[in-house]
Amino acid sequence: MIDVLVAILVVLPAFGIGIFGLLARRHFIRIIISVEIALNAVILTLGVFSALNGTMGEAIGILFLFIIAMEVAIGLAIAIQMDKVFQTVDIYAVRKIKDE
Amino acid sequence: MVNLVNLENTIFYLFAPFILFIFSLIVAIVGLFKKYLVAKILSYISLLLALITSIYFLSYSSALFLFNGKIIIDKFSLIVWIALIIGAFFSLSSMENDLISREALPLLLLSLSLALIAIISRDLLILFLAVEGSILPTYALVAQFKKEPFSLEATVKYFIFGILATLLFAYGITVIFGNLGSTSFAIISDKIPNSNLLLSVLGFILIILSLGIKSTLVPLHTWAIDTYQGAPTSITVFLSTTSKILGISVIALLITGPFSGLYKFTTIYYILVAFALLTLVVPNIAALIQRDLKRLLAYSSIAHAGYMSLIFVFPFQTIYILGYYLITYSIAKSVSFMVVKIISGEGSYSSYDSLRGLFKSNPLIAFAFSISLLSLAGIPPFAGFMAKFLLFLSTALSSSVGISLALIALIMSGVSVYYYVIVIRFASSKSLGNGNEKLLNLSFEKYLFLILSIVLLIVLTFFPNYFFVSIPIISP
Amino acid sequence: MTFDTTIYIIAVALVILFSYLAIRTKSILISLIYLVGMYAAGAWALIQVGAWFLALIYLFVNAGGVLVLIIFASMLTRPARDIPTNRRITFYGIITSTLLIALIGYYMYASNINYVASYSSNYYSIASFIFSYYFIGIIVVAIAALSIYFGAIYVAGEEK
Repeated sequence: MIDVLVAILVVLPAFGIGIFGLLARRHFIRIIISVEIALNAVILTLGVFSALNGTMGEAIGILFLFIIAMEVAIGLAIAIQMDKVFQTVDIYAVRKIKDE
Repeated sequence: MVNLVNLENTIFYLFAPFILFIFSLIVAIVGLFKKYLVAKILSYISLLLALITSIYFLSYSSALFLFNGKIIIDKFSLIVWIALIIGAFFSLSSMENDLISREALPLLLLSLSLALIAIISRDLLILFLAVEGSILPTYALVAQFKKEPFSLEATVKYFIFGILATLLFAYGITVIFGNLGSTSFAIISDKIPNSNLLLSVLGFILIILSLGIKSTLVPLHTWAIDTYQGAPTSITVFLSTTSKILGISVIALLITGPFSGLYKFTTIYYILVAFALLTLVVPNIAALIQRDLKRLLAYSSIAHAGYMSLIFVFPFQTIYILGYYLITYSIAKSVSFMVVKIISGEGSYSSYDSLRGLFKSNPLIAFAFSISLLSLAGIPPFAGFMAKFLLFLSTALSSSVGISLALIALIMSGVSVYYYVIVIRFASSKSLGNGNEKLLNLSFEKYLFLILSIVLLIVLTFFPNYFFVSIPIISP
Repeated sequence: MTFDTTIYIIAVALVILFSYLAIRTKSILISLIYLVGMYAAGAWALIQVGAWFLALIYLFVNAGGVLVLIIFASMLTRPARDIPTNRRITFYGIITSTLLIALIGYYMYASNINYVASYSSNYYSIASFIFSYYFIGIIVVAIAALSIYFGAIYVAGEEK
């Protein structure tokens, strides 16, 4: 037995932390961890809603997991190549290169 | 309403995405053996087959109805398909036959194939998967680090904003599912009037924000300029057509289809009007102070997203013009970026000065470039004029808000003529050096596509009615 | 508030704590440990709701696939410990995420969905949704996975 409104509202801070990390962190791998945090919040919300509306929600959640896992994979490929070419994973290092 | 046919022979009716998928595998294998020319010819063949099937299905008078109505191929989706495929054609023709094309061609074909599926899907989750799936390969296309700081900035910004859009879309679908218990367009449009309206509005706002990032509506456009500038120019051709056409037409599909019940609500209406107003004004003003050709064209493509978003304000009366506008935009914008590619290569920077003496040394390139810019500006004998004219007219006739928005669009269109003409004046001016401009060598395909674009931009002016779309069909 | 809801809130509080720590720590490997904690707490919360099948798949995909990928990527890159935070960007990040939460929270709260639901996963039904209702979706995901396979080779490939 779950109170739906309470259960959704308490997850929101986790979504906010994920979005904050996505926008404000400078380490590229830290950004990808933030994506995982925000996705976790979405999946939890979906779990609560599937308690409300039936199993279709879990099917949607599984397909979400696949898409985000793919984005993480391509993001990590970008991080490794960035480390090779620019010798750093700091996304703001580019500002210094431009100023020089 | 046209008749709907329920068909079993699925592969035949999904021929265009299917053929692109199969050819992308073949192209990837051919590319391994460094047969670049063969790979490119195969890609052209697959695009041509997809274009021919789309035009062939246009002759059907009825919509095609597959997978229990989760996929519907109607006139709206076919016209948008044609616009998408034209953009991919120009992107392909502006690539050189080298390592870039070997790795980029399969990704480009896969991305296009999923974009085609996105337009015909009539289920929110399948739409999400196809849109995100078509954006995913473009991260890899943009991420070509060439020791150039701009390429890094382009990739990182594109990736972060792309993932933000994905998360917002996912949350939006979650809310819509939680409220209505289904993701099918037909069920959503049935259930919305008798459901919890606040939750539906919240879900739809999140989805609009996500698609607004993809189609560069103004408060959400900040990634686009650096990404368009930092990406390799032949990839910029693809980004500025595919991603934008996809975003705009999916919003049009949603507000005329499943969420048309929400459209009466003032919150949604004001958000759409505010997006349209900002996207009309801001990029046109910002473009006036640009000194880099690629950056200017990026701003101009955002401005065109503004003209297109006039459709969202009164979709039921103005959507018929969307298909024609998308096709003329697709041709003119990709030719302008293609010329930048020919003049200054795949790099991030191209000053106005590199255009000097172009009319004297390379008249064909200069001619095609000027015609594409004049078409983007909306100068009479070209197709862009007819598209803008019909769009502004139908918006102005819709209501009083429509009149003021169309007036603003007209003024901004006048402003845009100024910066396009400056570029053309640079092209017609004398060169700074000793007058020996280098003759740019054009390959056969580029020659062909430049001539084709000139012909199309003039001829299409007189046949807008062939590309008028109807309101998308969402249920059998 | 029911007893189950109280347990759920404890699990979600752990999720929020671990995600905050994962964002805050200096070392990327330590923040990966917090990430594992967040996965576990998230799976607990999902099981508490009754969506244990989703919790299972969630752990399989994330702990089995994504986490290993992130560990390998962080071992292959430089351990940049001394990246300072940018005050302006932090400010904008806080503003944006707060506005987003406020938007969602306001609408959720105002919509007033006062339901008490009890639920348990039914994997036959989930499988029928995935493999018949969303069949075309599975095809789309497969094509996207293929494009990622090409794309990752393209980005991180040796010859440039």
